[in-house]
Amino acid sequence: MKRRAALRAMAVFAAMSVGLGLAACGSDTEQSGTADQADLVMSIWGSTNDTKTYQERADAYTATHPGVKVTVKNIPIENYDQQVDTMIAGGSSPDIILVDSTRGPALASRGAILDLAPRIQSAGLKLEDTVDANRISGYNLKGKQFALPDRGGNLVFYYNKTMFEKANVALPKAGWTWGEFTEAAKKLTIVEGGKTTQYGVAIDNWPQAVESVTRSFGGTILNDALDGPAIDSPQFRTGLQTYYDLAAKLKVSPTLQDYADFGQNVNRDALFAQGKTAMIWAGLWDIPDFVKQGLSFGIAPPPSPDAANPTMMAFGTGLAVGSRSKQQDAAWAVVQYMFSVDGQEPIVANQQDVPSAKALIPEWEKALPQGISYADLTKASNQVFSPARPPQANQIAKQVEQDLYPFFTGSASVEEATSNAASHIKATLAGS
Amino acid sequence: MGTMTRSGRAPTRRTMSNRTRETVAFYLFMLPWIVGILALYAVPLVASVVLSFTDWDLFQPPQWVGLRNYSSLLTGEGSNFWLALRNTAYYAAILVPVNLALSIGFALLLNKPIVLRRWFRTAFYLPSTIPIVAVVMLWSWLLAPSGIVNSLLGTVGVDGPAWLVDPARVKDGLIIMGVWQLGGGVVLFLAALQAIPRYLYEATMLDGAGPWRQFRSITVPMLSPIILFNLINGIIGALQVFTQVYVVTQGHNAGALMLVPFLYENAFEFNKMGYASAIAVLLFVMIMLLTLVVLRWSRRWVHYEGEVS
Repeated sequence: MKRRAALRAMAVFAAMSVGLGLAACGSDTEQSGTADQADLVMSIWGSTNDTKTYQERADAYTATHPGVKVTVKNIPIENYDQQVDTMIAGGSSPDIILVDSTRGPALASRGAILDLAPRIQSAGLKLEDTVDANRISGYNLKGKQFALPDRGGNLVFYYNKTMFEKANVALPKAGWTWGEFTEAAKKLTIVEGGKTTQYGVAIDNWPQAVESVTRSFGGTILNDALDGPAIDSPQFRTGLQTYYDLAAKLKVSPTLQDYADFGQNVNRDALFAQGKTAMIWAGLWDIPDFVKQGLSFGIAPPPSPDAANPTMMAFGTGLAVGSRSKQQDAAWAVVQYMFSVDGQEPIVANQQDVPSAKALIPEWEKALPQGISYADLTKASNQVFSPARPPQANQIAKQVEQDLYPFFTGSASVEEATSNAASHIKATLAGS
Repeated sequence: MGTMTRSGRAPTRRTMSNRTRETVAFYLFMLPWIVGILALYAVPLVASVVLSFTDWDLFQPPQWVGLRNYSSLLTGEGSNFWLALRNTAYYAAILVPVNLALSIGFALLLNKPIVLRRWFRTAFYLPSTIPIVAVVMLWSWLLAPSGIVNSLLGTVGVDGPAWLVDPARVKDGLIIMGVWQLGGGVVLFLAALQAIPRYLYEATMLDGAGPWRQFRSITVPMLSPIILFNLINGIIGALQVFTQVYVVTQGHNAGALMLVPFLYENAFEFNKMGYASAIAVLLFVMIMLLTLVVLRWSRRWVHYEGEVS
């Protein structure tokens, strides 16, 4: 009897734990609070300057809407996805969620963030009045606008002025062709005693650069309908091969094997900072670091084999509203404010990042360190692209990285690597 | 009489209540363990088996999909399961026996009255106390294409590979790192060696047994329970390898895609909880089967002291 009772007690306990676990996953979305009265949580990742800037922007909203308070919660980037997932599954979803164009689709397709399109429409908001139209698509999943662009920026091309001047090579500029670029890279590569002491350019398998370069050759990873691979297209393959040839054939860039010799965590950015390479593809976030290193450098649009194709992937972040937030109206009001030019002002003032608002770009340019001109990049703003992603974006990105890795280490041909990636993408999109 | 009745009943009640009290005390003392095992182990284990038959993205309620996760893992186009299994099997099949043999070898050496014996014992154990991330940092330097290991190989005319970069070689690099951390096993073998009674060796010596014969007929049988323990733990540990793989490849090098990192990325990066649970169940079944096979096989060669055969 007793044993049975004990067993029963254990069974009840077990059932309760399962029940609790599952109950936590299906929390209600009942609204509490109004647009004027709310305590909101906003999840972000980044530095202390990021926390400070978001808090300032939130406080600016609170100043005019004293009933609405926003607490900015900074989560380390390595755990961001998991922690936000856990918060949502645990019934305490952040009200405002910082996303980017790869993590956004996964949240949107799982119903964790709101489709803002109806709210955008009823607010009469025209996103393209504030930001470049080609920034908006990155936060769109099958017609659902899951976030408003927040911070901007895109992939750019850095060059070390000192090295260019020393080698007497003309500086990169908008409209630079691939041919001009490789010629310069050859001239800027210095080999002493069989050892390369200075590289013309430093490339590796960084997905954003791979996607931008192949795009400039007319290749994309997915087809336009996002329902099949395009990574095995001749354009993508040519782009990938030409890109990797910089290291393998022309030897103007280190290979992945060379990087392994430089030490753990020494990547293209580190090589540029150390003055060991003349050029890199990188994000604008590197500027403060390179300034600190005392480098004399400039930024320009990347070289392009075909002026008709875009060359620079849009970076940046977007702001989404948690669909399990109990204060969606207030959260949306804050997001809408942060999207406005006024709401983005602290991004510039604190030199946090590039604002997505077009109107703030001139001011942002003025704040750039001396000697760095954004003029060429402004001219090439039509070169920015923001690929739309399917819900499986995360998985595809990782799979592609794995499949291209053997190509970047010289153990698979471009055909093998891209065909392999294509069949994996097909399977992923088919839902297996 | 009344007292008698009462006193007749009272002891019974007291024994009952004593017993009950004992039972209550038992369960109370057990409670932390029961709660721990249920909440942290049994429930997740059962939940994981159940979830393996569902499609669950953490947010929407799980959808029952029957065996679909298993079929897409095992036969689905583009499934990485077999690749992960092959890689893991390769890693375990080399690391476990090499580690066992070397651990025994080093334990034998360290059991000899050599100079600086204490120092060597510490030196051999030390690597297994170093956090795995630091181990990876160290070895990515040693195993760099122009690193020390390849320089040494170069002196004997071998052109060393890019160990932790080349997809075809990265598993070997990880195995080398694993072998370096064999200190834990060495300590166990050393303790077991010291527990072997000297008279056994003396008796066989009188019978004319040489060192090899002694090793085969005394040392190995006496060490056999520890060999079994290390073998099973080694197999389980190798099949569940995670940290070093993740730190070395950051998930990009499919040459080192192993089962647990594969499970991890599906669960926590792609939110495919059902699919990941199916991997966990398959891994669990494989480990159980392997352990059972080893345990059965061990009846033939494991000798327990005091056992009458």
